[in-house]
Amino acid sequence: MDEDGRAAMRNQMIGFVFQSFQLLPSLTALENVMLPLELAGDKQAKTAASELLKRVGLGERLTHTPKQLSGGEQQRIALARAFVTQPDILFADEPTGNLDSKTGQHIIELLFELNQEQNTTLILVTHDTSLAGRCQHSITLEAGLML
Amino acid sequence: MNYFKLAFRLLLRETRSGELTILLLALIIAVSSSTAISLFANRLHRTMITQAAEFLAADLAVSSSAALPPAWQAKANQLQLKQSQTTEFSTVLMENDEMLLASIKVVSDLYPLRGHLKTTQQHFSDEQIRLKPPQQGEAWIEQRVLSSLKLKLGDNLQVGEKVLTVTRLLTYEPDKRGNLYSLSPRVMMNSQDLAATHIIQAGSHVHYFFQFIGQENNLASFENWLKPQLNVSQRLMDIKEDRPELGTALERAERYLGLTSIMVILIAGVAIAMATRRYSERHFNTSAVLRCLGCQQKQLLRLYSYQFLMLGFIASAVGCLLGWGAQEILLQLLRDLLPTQIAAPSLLAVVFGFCTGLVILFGFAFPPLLRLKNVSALRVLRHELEPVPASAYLVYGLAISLIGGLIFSYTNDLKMTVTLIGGGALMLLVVAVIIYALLHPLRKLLPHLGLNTRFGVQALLREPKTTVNQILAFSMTLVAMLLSFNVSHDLISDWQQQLPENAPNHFVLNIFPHQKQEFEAELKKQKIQNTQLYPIIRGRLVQINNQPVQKIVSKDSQGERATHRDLSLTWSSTLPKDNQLVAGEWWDEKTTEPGLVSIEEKLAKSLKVTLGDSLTFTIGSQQVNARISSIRKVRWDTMKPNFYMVFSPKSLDAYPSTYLTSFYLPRAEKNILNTLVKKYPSITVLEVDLILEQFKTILLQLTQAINALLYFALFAGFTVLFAAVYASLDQRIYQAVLMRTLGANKALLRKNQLIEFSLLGALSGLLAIIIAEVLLFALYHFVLKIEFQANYLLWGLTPVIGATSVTLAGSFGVRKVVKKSPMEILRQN
Repeated sequence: MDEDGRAAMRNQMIGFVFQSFQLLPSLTALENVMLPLELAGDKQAKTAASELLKRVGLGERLTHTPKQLSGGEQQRIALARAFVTQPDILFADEPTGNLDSKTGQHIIELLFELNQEQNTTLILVTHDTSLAGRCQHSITLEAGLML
Repeated sequence: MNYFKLAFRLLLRETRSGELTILLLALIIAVSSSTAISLFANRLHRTMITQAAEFLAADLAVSSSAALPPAWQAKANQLQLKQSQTTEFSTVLMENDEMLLASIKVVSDLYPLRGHLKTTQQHFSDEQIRLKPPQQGEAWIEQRVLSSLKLKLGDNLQVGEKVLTVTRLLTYEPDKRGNLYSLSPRVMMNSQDLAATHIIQAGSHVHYFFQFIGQENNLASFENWLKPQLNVSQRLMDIKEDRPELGTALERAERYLGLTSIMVILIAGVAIAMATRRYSERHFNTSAVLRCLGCQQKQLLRLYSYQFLMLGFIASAVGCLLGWGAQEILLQLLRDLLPTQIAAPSLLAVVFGFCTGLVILFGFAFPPLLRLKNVSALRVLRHELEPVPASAYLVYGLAISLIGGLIFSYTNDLKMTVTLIGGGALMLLVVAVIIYALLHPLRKLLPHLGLNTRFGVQALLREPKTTVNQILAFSMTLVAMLLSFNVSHDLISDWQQQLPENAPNHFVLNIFPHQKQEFEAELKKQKIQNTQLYPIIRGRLVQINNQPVQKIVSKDSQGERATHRDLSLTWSSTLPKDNQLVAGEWWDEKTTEPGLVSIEEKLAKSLKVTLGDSLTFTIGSQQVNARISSIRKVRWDTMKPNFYMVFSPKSLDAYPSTYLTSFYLPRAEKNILNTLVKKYPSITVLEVDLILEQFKTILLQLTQAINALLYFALFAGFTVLFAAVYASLDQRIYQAVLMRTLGANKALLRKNQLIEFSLLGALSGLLAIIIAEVLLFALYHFVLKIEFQANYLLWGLTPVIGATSVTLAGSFGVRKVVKKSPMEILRQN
């Protein structure tokens, strides 16, 4: 599959959550979440995105840009953006790596809740063994090798 | 999905966040200045053409050897053009037992359609402006006719079979043409009297001139309709050909206006390229996220292209409005100097400005945009992954071909385009190498430098490619400003040289050889200086290499016209001033034999003759042969006596000659002319002071307009330089903040920045002056034909200006780093 084929697949089937959030700095919270739906041509993008933002507790922050928000809030937007397309698979790369433990815990709860609600396959990469323990399957890698 | 709508939404969001401000500003500057200049230049050009039209007494004039065809008149009526007609012929006048060959000009009631006539009631007394020509039964005559035929005002004058009353002395007619010193004295009369003269018969040698004025588009369609119908004896008159002294000035001014427009566009293009580069680098992450969210490469490119297209439309619209306003202000500022009636702004010039905006946006912004398409989705995890930069061929190739296209469209001059583009591209290459070479020894110096200086210099060496790009961009802006400055300065001083303060404004002809010495002494006595007497012999070219000329010259060429009339032949031991040898050698007075001739370059080309060819002239009833020994370039725009043919001394000794001279006479000393005419009744005085004054006024107006444009270009240049420095600040701000977090104090940061910016600016200035001087040399030597002189003051000044402006803009841009807390800035970036 070529790059563009992979991109189309990502849009339809896959969601991402990154350690460093990767929100677009010039867009508001709402616009960031709307974006994948807009790219897919969804006309209900605004409704779906604002509902999901309310669901992650940011209903009052829709018009804020990333730099006006805390790390935890930014990651919640990232979660909303990942789940808004209702992907089959969601990849999360150290989703709590940039957050303090309390905020991190809150994000993880949210991640698992949304995962269960949407029945998504969540593939999570983490150094946190307790977090890994909450997953149905876990694979340990060391220096690139599966243990 | 509708990418256009999505692109629009993204554009709105980006604009709101301030990401597009610099790009938008650069584009608006580009469009507003190119619109302002093209509008201003266009209006000025049309105004000047109207003013220059006075020299043709109309907007459009046709010369013909036959009467006005009825179809032309009908067409002109249909297009609501006003018409006038003049008929010129020579005839011998006889009064009071005196005879005189006079040039009769028969004019219709509406003549002159542009400009006015001037007359007096008494010789050399105050002139009056006359908007209407002589009425039926009247004759207006030149002083020469009055004195030669011993007439006074109110006397009768018989022209052919018609008796007219002399009512005024004619001193100025706007469309007086031809060889200044071959003119017979003028008699002007009304066309209603023409038939009664019975002079014009079948086969008479008569010149007809048809003049037209009217609305611009109607005139243009009339001209288009007329052109294909002209036969060999009919010719559309052209200010450039019929009044070379004015035509050259207008042509040069037009070229300058075109050049300035291009320079401003180039300046703005540099800013757009830098701003797009910044935009593109700041959007690598965005593109990577978009790719992760499922955006395909072509969709990504489409999204950005649509955004830029919309941006182009918005900026072009705003720029056009601003440009319109700017040129109105410019014209208001020049109000007192410009003619009262200024041509209306042309919508076409606005459209041109609008398109220019879109074209430069595409040319300069496309290559950096292409990079965004190639951002890998993996960049979200690995921040160091940057897309491959666009190929240098694409970046520079596109910019160069675009600028080349623009230069050509503005100047319509392939030579100028090639000189600027070829020279510019070559210089860019050379300069890039020079900068690399200059940066290298700096690296070696680093360990020996103090902390402050070291950080400043290191900042330049960290990414040599970026530094080279920035220096090139700043240099190009400075080069454009230098070119505008120098060309305007030299163009104006060349005009001043062409018409110095005391340029000859009177010609005296028909001085007989026996009067020559006495006449020279008389001039000296009257304190008239710097006069030279040229011998004149009237002769006609009849054979080239023993072949009749009619067989050789092509129809309706300059050569053909020159062989249909008598030429003023002269001889001289020295090369006339302002003449330049382009082939052959000038004769040595002592050793050379008679029978050599030096011919004017353009005529030689038209007659297809070269060195060594033999020319045969008839002088009176005799024939004289001469061999071409040199070819000269003559400046026809200097209003000094100039000759097509100059013979070697003694070649024409056997033929009767008269002498001609020219000199400057201030208005207050006009009475000297009376003294001269009384003392030497045979001489003919031609007064060209009025024509010269008008010509000077036009040059002054052009000078002021060009100065105004120059200030505009310099203003645009500095604005863009500021914008360009701003566009390069992201990395610097980030690094300065990091240094602050590591404990660097404000003073250290300020010193670092001062050293870095001033080095960057000074290097750019130095390179700019090198490039500018090379380009100027090429431009002057090959295109504008002005003498090139290196400007040493600018060699010292430009690096200082470069250093100062880059430091000012840079320090202003990074000021927040030294004022705000590092935390605040890091969060914003």
